[in-house]
Amino acid sequence: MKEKVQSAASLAPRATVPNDSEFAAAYDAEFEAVWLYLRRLGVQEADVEDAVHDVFVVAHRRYGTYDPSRPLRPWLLGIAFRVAAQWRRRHRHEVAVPDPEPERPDETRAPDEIVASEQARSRLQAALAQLDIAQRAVVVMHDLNGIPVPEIATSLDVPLNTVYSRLRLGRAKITAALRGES
Amino acid sequence: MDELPLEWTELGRADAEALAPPDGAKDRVRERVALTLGLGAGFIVATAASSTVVGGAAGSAAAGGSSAAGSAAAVGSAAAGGGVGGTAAATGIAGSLLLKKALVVGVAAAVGVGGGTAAYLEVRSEQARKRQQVAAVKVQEPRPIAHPAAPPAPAPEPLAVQPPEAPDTLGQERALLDEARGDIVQGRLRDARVLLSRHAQEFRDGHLAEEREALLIRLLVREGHESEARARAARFRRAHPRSIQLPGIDEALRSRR
Repeated sequence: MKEKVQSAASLAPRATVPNDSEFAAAYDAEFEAVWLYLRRLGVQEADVEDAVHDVFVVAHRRYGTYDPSRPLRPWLLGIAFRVAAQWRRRHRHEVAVPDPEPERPDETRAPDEIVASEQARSRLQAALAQLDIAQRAVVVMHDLNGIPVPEIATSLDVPLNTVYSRLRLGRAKITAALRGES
Repeated sequence: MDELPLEWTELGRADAEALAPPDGAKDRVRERVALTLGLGAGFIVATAASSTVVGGAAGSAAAGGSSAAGSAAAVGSAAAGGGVGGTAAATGIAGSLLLKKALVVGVAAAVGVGGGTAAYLEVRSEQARKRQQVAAVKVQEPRPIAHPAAPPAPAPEPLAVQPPEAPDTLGQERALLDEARGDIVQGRLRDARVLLSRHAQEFRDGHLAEEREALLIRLLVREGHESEARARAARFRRAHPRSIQLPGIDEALRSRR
């Protein structure tokens, strides 16, 4: 069941590189999605800039493997999954410390909105924490990013049934976690 | 298949707001991606022009009085010209969005301290090139700075001296990296980034690419990007397990603890 996660650094070939403006457009369009995906896979706030950097560097170097007839985001999130998996391996011996509260208060939102948002984050993170990273990768991609299962299978390079299986198991755990807390 | 509770979608929406990147993160990461990949003005300009300016940078973009497109011309010109014309163009981007953000990829990356800085960097880079080609050109420094790691300035000779027929690329690489090392030692971290970026652009797989990576790791340590420095160091160790750069890298990482 447990499959070997391919090293992002080993995704080597530099065959084709995008032109700069093309890559810039991809960066602009996908930066936030990559950021959010990494955070939801458990990359801590202090390290997420490094991780996003790594995702786009790998994406640039592996651009030759991207099929332009398919959407870009699943492909990028597939890379992000591998980067996040590496990050978690490097930090597996560290004690998880919750992210600190935001340094700057958001003055554009009412206090109750901020509290609700923080509560939502906390509940969601607690539920996601019940999943292993492979299940998390699928559930977040499908249920929060709205990416179809076949695209997920391609981006993670796993069989379709594996994606369905992870989705089912992941959802069951989340449902249990959300029900159990209320 | 089990269905998720309806609140899942709502939680996800609120969660996305809570986890959104902070102001400036997009630009910081963009700089680092550009530096790592040695991307040129096309990446920076297209990105700067198409992005909605993030957070505090909005004011600087407006106050700079120079559009992203204008900056594009300046950086493109500087990168292509690599000489006096590029210097003049680069000077024009002072106060612009690119200057404010200190985007370091390109020959005349801005450092954010005034109109003369971009030109200054251009002159310094040009110095490194000519020093190796002719070993005879002395370009006047805009401000006096000691460069302990740089070779002594050669005696001034006429510019008419012919450069070698085959460019001494190793010498050019060495000059750039020596200067970058000096900047790191002296704490001129932005200048060092510019020079390392230039090396990555011009000599991506050059003779001294390994040394460039080692310097970049030291620079990241000095800049406080310890996590990335350690990750890069680990990759470096795997790629070059017997490198003579490793003791220096380890020392830099130890010094941060």
